[in-house]
Amino acid sequence: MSMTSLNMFRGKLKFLPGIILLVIIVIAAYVFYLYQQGGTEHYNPPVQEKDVPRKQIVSDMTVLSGAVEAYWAKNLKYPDKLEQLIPEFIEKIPSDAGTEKTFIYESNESDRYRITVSEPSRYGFKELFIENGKITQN
Amino acid sequence: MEKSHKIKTIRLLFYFFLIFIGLIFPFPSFAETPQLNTKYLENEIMKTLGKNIKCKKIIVQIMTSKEKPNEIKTLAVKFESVMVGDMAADYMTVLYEKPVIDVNQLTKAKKFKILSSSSNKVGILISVKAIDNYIAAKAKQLLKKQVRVSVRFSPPYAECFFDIPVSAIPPKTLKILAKYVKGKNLEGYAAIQMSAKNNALSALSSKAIVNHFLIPGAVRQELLNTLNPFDRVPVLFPLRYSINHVNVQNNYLFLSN
Repeated sequence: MSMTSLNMFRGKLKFLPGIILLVIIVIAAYVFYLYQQGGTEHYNPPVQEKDVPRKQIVSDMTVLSGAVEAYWAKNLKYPDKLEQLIPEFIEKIPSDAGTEKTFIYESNESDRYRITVSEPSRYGFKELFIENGKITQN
Repeated sequence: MEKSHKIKTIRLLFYFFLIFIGLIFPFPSFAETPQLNTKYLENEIMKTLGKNIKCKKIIVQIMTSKEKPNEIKTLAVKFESVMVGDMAADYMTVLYEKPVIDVNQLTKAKKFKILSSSSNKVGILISVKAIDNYIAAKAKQLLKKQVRVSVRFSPPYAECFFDIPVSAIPPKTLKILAKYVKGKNLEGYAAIQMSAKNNALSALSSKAIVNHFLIPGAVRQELLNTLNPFDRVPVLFPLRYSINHVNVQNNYLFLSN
């Protein structure tokens, strides 16, 4: 090994303790973060972020449809109106995010229900509804 | 001679009369198919299922169409407090559309058998209380009295609070969580979402805290790969269904096909 390359290696070694210290600090900070986030005050579910309107509306309708199906499983009939799902199956009835209008709900109690969006074109659909658990979006 | 000819003529006329009557009123209209006795069928199904399936109450509902009153449009069976495996589900409802029931088997052999149906639907509702009871019974069965697990529904998550002795945890799971084991217990919290496929239940963990440490995503994933599927929904004989959806709702865990 020549004298110049030995000096370069020594020069690099000069930074090694600093690098090790930095790695230790990063690891310690990460461990501290995990510890700090692990207190009982953090015993709560992650906050759900709102999806893009097109996905959000489908997701809201699917949740509603699930609640209607659960109501049926308990009562052997579909609810007359969506409000009957509160509070047993759902916390609150979501509204159509684009228009702030409530979803259109129709049911004949015994064997058919339908949840529709009043203005599907707002989300780029010609039709958007859930009938007896099956979603139609086109 | 003339007398016997007269008798023959009368007999012939009588036969003609009979044929004539037969042509005007075809036989089926005489023996019109009896109306489907839905109440009788409902009762028979209820009694038969009651023998096979452990539950508090069974409601059977048969609906016929107005156009074809002798054809079953839907058959719905609802069970209350039904034992699904070791868990007492609050409600379980099964619906068959256009079912063909083996009535002979039902009435003679007291066996419920659906020969065919156009589609079926199943819904199982399980409350927090039912899950808590199930966990307590399991802990008792395993003689692990110190196991403390409670569940809360926060749609779309099921929250789980636990305090479990290390000795009650399978070695494979313990190996993954080794860094977080302090003392004799694993205490913490998990928020999970669930999925189902062909009756197998899997958890998708969104957050987990063990012994005051937030578990990083990679460790959570490794843990789930070991645990999933964490349970199977038993199919109650003689019903047929496949659970493919799990929905966490305000008061219930809703399993459906």
